[in-house]
Amino acid sequence: MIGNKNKFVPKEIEDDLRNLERYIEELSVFLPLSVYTVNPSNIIVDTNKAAIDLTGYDEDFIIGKEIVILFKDKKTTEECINQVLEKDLIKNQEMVLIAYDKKEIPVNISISVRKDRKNNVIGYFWAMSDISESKRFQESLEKEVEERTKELREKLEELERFQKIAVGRELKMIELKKEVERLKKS
Amino acid sequence: MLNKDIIKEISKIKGETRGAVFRTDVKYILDKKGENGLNQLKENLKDIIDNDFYSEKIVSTGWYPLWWRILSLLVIKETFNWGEEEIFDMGARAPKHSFIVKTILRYFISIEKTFEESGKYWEKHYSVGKLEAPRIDIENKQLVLHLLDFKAHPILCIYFKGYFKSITGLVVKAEKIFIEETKCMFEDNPYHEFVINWE
Repeated sequence: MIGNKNKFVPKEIEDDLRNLERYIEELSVFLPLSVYTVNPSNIIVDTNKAAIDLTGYDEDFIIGKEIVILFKDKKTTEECINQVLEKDLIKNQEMVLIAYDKKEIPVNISISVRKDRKNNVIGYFWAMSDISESKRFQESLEKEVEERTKELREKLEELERFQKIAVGRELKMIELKKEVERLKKS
Repeated sequence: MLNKDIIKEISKIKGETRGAVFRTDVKYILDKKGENGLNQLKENLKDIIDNDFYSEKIVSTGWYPLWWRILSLLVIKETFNWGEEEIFDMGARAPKHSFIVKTILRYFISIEKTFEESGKYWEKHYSVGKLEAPRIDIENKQLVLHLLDFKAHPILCIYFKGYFKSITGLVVKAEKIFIEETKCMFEDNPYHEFVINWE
């Protein structure tokens, strides 16, 4: 039989704790959103699997490091930290993440303040999602729009040129007809 | 070399510790030695004791005999022929994987809070001993910890050095953190003293 009987906690509560622990671990592994738990000194104290997969930084490396090291623009990161202290929540801030392999990944960040029962700040949750795909799609759409616009512009210019020629020709024809009439009369 | 006499002596050590310690041991062994390493460890443990410390049935929040914790470290050390460096590293990595540490992250908000509350923090992990921080000197970048009423096994002194160093790193922004055990109960001192400096 494994383990002594828990002398401190009734069995029901022990079972509940076991289930709660399992639930938290399973949720942490499943959650597709990358999440960092950060303390008020902006030091990372916890991470989840999605964050490890996204950044390439495992727990042993990243826990104990400052959150700012993850991002390309340190100034914007610090501004976000200051803002979240005022607003308690920041959503959908675009930033560039620097992964372990130095790859730059565009991400969407949300930050929420954590408080204790006395309303003291005890840290933050940083959640991030990889927006590389949507950025690439957006860029390809913009490029296509640009190309189509260019095409249209060229066609328009061609039409204008044609119109100029056609109208010019028309006016010339009218002039010639008038000349013919005049000559006929004289 | 572990033998029945040594194990018998160790089994007399009183106190309990959280199951989280075994879960962090498993994580460390899997990272360093893989599944084969863990299986090898389990086989060696089976030769010594009837209980599987590394089973999924061990609950992080459960309480287990402290001497199991000591035995785990000794069996690990022997199985892989590891020395102080590896045991220190195990201690250093443990807070990063410990479920118990995650439940008490509210303490890791500043160095003052973390170590002023170190007594409470200790009680969540061990049923014996008392941890105090008689000196927290931010200006000179030094912290002193005293571990009282805890004369379990010298291997834990090495493990705790790594552990306290890592905990300090969670609340101090430092390029380097240094730790030294300047007093030890196994050297006839009244308590263990750990001095931590950083730069």
